Amino acid sequence: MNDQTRTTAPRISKGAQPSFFEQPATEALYGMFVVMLEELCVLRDRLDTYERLGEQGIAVTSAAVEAYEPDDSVEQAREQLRHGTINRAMRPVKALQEAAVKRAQSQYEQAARSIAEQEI
Amino acid sequence: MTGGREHPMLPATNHDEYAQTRFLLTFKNYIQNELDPLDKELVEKVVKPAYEQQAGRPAQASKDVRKLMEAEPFHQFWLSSLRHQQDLMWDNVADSVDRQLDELQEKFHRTETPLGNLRLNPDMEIPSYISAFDNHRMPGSYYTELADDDLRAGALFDGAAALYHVNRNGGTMNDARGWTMIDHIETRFPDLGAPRRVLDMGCCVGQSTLTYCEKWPDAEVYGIDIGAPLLRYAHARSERLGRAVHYSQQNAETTDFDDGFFDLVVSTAAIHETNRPATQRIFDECHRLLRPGGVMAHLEVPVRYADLGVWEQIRADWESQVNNEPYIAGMARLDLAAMAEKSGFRDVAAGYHWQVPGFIPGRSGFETEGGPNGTLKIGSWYMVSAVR
Repeated sequence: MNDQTRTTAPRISKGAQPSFFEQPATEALYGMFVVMLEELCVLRDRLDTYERLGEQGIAVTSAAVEAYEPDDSVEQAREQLRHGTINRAMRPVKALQEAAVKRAQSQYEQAARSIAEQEI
Repeated sequence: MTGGREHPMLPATNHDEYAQTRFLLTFKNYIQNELDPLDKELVEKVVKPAYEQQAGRPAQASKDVRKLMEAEPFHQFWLSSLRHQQDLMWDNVADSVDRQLDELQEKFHRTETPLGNLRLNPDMEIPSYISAFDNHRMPGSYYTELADDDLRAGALFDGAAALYHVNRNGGTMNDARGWTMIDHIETRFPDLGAPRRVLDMGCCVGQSTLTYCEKWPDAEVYGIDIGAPLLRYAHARSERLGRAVHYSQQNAETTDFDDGFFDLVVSTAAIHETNRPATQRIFDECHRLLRPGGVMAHLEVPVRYADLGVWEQIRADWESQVNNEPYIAGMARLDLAAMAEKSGFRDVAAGYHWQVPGFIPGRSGFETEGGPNGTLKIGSWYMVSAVR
């Protein structure tokens, strides 16, 4: 294997590359957003490793970071942080759903009212 | 890496690669636990009533509401979230595999005291249902070879498998489908006994295959797949785990084994990556390969359109249309039992078998009915099995 081989490995799948948003640019931006969200969570874990090494009086070196193994309580704390980060990031998206449900309900209530009034 | 037993061929993860897998697990669970229910509510409260008002009849299938759903901004994010978590998974694991590819190749070359063997056929034509697109968006698919003795696709698949299944499929061994298959065989065919020869069709990196070696230590176990890089990796993986498997590069529609050579022919999640004519030919081939009284069993994704509600069909459509598994939507509408009968099988049954080891408390065994209220029977696999 040589470097040339590695660079020619396909990184985009053959097949559908759909855009779900009205603008393909929005699709690309959302792809970038998910990558950035991951990068942020990875950096956060790395920072957490630094702090925990520091608490144990271990010098923060690349080797010490690689050797660090989080226990279950550390995993749980990190999971909670990640979930909170994702949830805050997705709040505006969830708000779109909430608005659509509210709008539909008010439309149907309005339609029902007008039918009821017609029947009177 | 992500729970369960590790094995010596599995690509290792460094600190940040491990953190990436943790992020993707959290994000996948977030989509499933928090965005899926909102998307379903959008179908129920917004789109179904709108469709009924427009069409004058209730929506019955995903195709009825697709256009209305695709116009909803929340649904656009939902579709796109599923797409990008999948692409990011392959991208992350590809970086990790490429970082250690030399070592993995070296392990293949240093595979000693082979228990089983590896037989490749460079002239084998890759069927169009595999070559036309990359299944489940895995760049390069199962067969791309970039160097001599390339096993990259196998390492990429195995490195991502536990993450792909959110750790529910037997952790890093990813072998729950094999154990489920064994449970199904024992439930449905108690008289079969320990098979002498077993064939695993579409064996990929041998995740299920090895469970048959463990269950039936005296059996000769064979695995076939179309992807040479998968089989090289599978061979090195099996040998390091001390299991004897005879791997060969073959198309399951037409193999070179003798008539009646096997007591048991199985596949796990392979049929949905073929197409309808190939499925019939594979059933015909199973019939040819089995001795009289031998058993054929295929384990599949638990998706049956007739058993699913509108939102669940939309979720299955994503797998077909976006995740490059187009035959899921077709296969999930076919009468696989009738196709097995057409190939000459008897005692045919099709239904859902609860996964072993399971993750839904109190659920086990084989059932024919779908999930309640059109829900997907998560934690089960769809089986079609029969006697030659």
